[in-house]
Amino acid sequence: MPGPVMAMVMVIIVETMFFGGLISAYILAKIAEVEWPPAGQPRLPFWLTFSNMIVLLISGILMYRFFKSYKTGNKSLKYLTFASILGIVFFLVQGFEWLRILLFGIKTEPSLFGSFFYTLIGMHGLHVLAGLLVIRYLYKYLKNPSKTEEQKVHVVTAVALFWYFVVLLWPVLYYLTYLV
Amino acid sequence: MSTTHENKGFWHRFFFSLDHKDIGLQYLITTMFIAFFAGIFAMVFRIHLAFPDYHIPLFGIIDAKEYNILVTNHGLIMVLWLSMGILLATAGNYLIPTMLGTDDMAFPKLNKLSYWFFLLSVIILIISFFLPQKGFGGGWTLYPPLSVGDFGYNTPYKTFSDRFFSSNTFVLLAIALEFVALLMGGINFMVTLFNKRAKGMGLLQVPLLVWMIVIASILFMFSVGPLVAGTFMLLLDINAGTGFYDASRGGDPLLWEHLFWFFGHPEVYVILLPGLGILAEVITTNARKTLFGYKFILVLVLIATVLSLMVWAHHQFVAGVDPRAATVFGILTIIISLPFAGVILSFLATLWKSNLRLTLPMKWAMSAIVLFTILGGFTGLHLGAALFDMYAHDTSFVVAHFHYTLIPVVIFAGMAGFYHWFNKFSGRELNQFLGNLHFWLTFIFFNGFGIPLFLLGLAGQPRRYAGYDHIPYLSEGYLPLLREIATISAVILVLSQFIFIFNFIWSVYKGKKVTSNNPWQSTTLEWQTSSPPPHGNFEVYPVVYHGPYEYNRPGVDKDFLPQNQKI
Ligand code: HEM
Ligand SMILES: [Cu+2]
Repeated sequence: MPGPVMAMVMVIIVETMFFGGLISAYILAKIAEVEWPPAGQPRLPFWLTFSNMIVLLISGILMYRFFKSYKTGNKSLKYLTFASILGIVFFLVQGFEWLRILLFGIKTEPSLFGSFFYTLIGMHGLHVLAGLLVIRYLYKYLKNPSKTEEQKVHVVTAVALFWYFVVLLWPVLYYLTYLV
Repeated sequence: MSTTHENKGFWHRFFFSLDHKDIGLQYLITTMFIAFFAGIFAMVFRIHLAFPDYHIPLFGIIDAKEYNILVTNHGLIMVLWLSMGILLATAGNYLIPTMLGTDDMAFPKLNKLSYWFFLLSVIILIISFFLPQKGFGGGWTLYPPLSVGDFGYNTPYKTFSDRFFSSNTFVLLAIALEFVALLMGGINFMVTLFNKRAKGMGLLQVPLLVWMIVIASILFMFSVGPLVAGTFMLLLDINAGTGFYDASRGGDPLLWEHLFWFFGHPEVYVILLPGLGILAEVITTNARKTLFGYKFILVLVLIATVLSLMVWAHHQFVAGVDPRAATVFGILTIIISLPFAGVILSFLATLWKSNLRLTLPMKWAMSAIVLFTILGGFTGLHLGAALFDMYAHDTSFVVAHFHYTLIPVVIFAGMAGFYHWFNKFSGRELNQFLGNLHFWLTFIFFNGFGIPLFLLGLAGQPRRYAGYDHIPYLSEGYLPLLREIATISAVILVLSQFIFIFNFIWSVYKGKKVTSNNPWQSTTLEWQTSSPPPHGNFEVYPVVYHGPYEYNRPGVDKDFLPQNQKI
C-alpha cells in the first residue's frame, strides 16, 4: 500500500475508534434514561438536516468521481471543486443550526441529551472542517511541479478516503441523534 | 539522498533536524529529563510513607495534598511519558530505519512534528505544576469526580478561567498532545516497515524489535481512540458544564473507567512488546544462537494483541462490573498470559545450551526475563482471578505487581537496549565498572523495594494513602519495618540511577572511542555501518540475504553471518 494511503487508513481507524467511544457512551446513556430526548425541550429540525445530509452525500459521490477520473489520467479538478462547494454548504448550514440550537434550544441539563448532541454533532463538524482544509491542501499539492504523478494519485486517494469517512459518518450520527 | 555528514550545530541538531537519529536522541533526552522528576517524586513520597516526621530536603514534611500530587504525577509520567517515550519513540526512531537498512523514516517531516508535539506535551505538563492547584492530584488514572472538580483544593473553581487554567485541564491537554505525537510516530513506524526495507529484506527477515514496535504502535492506534473521546468529554465536563461523568445529572463516572482501561490495558502491552523486542535482539546476540521460533513469537503476539482489547474490566472488578462479565474478563485475562508464556519459553529455548556471553546488556536482559516472569506476570495471573482481586485490589500488592511488570520491561529491558546500542549511537564505550555497579544496585534494591510491597499488600495495606500511622493494624509487628525497608531500597534505587546518568554523560564525551563498528559481532544491519551512522545511515545501502539471527550457522567460518553478507 502506498505510504500516504496506509497512513490515512490508520488515521481512519483511530477516528473510527474515537467516534466508536463517543457513540457507545451515547447509547449507554440513552438506555439508562426513560425519556429520550428529554421532555419539554425543543425538537430537532428534522427536514433541514435531512436535506443537508443529501448535500453531503452528493459531495461524497462527486469526490468519488473526481478520484476515479484523476486516477485514469483526467486531471480536471472540476468535480473536486463541486465536492468541496457542497462540503462548505453542509458545514455552514450545520454550523448555523448547531449554534442556533446552542443559543436558543436544548440545554445540557437535566439530562445528557444536550451534552451528547453538541459533542457528537460538533465533533463531526470539526471533522468536516478538517476535511475541507485537507482539500485546500490538495489543491496546492496538485499544483506543485516537483511532485510526480504517482505521488499525486496517492495523495488524492488518501484525501478522498478521509472525505468518504466524514461523509459516511454523518448518516450514522444523524440516525442516532435526530431519528432515534 | 545525501550520505555526507551534515555539519550540524547544537541547536540545529536538537531542535530542527529531520534526521531520525537526531529525533530519537531528542526523545531520549526529553524523556529522561521528565522522568528524572518522576523519580524524585517517588523518592519523596516514599520517604513520607515510612518516615512521616522526617524533614525531606527541599520538600519539608509533605501533607496529604502534596502526597497526592507527587504520586499522581509519578505514575502519569512513568507510564505515559517515560515508558512510551523510551520504548516506542526513542527505540523506534533510532533503530527502525537503521535496522531496516534505509536512510530515514517514510515521512521525516511528520516525524519532526511528532517530536514537537511531544515536547509541547511535556511543557504543558510542567506548567500544570505552576497553576493554582500546584499540580493534579486525582490519581494517575484520572477517575472522575476527582479529575473534574477541585476536590481538596483551597481555590474553588468559579469562572471559566479558573477551570481552564487548572492543573486538571492542563494534565488532560498534555496527555492528548502526547497521544497525537505518538500517533504520528506510530504511523511513520508502520509505513517505514512496510515500504522502506532494504533491498532483499522480506517481511519475515525483519528484526523482531522492529515488528514489536510496529505491532505496539498499531495496538496503540486501535485502543487510544476511545480514551481520547473520554478525555475530550472530561475536558468538556470541566470547562463547558456538560455532565457526562456526573451521576447527579444522569452521567456515569464508571464510563470513564471503561474508556480509560479500554486503552489502559492494551497500553501495558504497548510498553511490553518493544521491551520483548529489545530482549530478543540482546539475547540472540549474546547467546550466539538464532531466535527460537521467530514466526511462532509473531503469531503469539498477534493473538495477545487482539485479546488485549477484551480484558480491560479486570481493573474494575471492585468498581462494579456484572459478575457474569467479571467471569468472562477474568478468564480472558488468564488466557492472555498464555501467549506471553510462549514468548518467554521461546527466549528460554534460545538460551538453552548456548555459549552464553554474560555481557552487561545480557545481565540486564536475563534479569528482566526472570523478574518479569516470576514476580510480574505470575502475580498478574492471580489478580486476574476476580476472587483474589477483590482482596488485593487497591493494596500495595497491586503496586508491587505493576512495578514488577513495568520496571523489568522499561528499566531492565530498556537498560539492556541502552547498554547494547550505546556504542552504536555515541561511537564510544560505556564505562564497564560504573555499568556493573548500576546494574547490581538496581537489581538488589529494586527487589528490596518490591518484595516488601507484596507482603504489605497481603497484610492489607491500602495504596494511595498518604500515611498509615492512624491505622492500628498497619502499625503493628513487622509491617512498619517492611515499609522502611521498601523506602530505603527505593531511595537507593533512585539514587543509583544517578550513576547511570553520570556514566552516560561522561562516556558520551570522554568514553573510549569504539574500535569496531560491530563490537558484539551482531548480525542485524545497524551494526554493519559506522558508529554513529552517518546522515543517511549507510555509505552503501545494504542488500539483505538472510534472516536477522544467523549465529553459528554451519559452513560459515565466523560464528555470525550479517544479514547483508553473502555466504
Ligand atoms: C524509580 C523507582 C520507582 C520507585 C521508587 C517507585 C515507587 C512507587 C511507589 C511506592 C508507588 C505507590 C504509591 C502508593 O500508592 O502508595 C508507585 C506508584 C506508581 N508507580 Fe512507581 N516507582 C518507581 C518507578 C516506576 C516506573 C518505572 C513506573 C512505570 C513505568 C512506575 C509506575 C507507577 C505507577 C503507574 C504508579 C501508580 C500511581 C498511582 O497509583 O497513583 N513507577 N511507585
Ligand atoms: Cu490490565
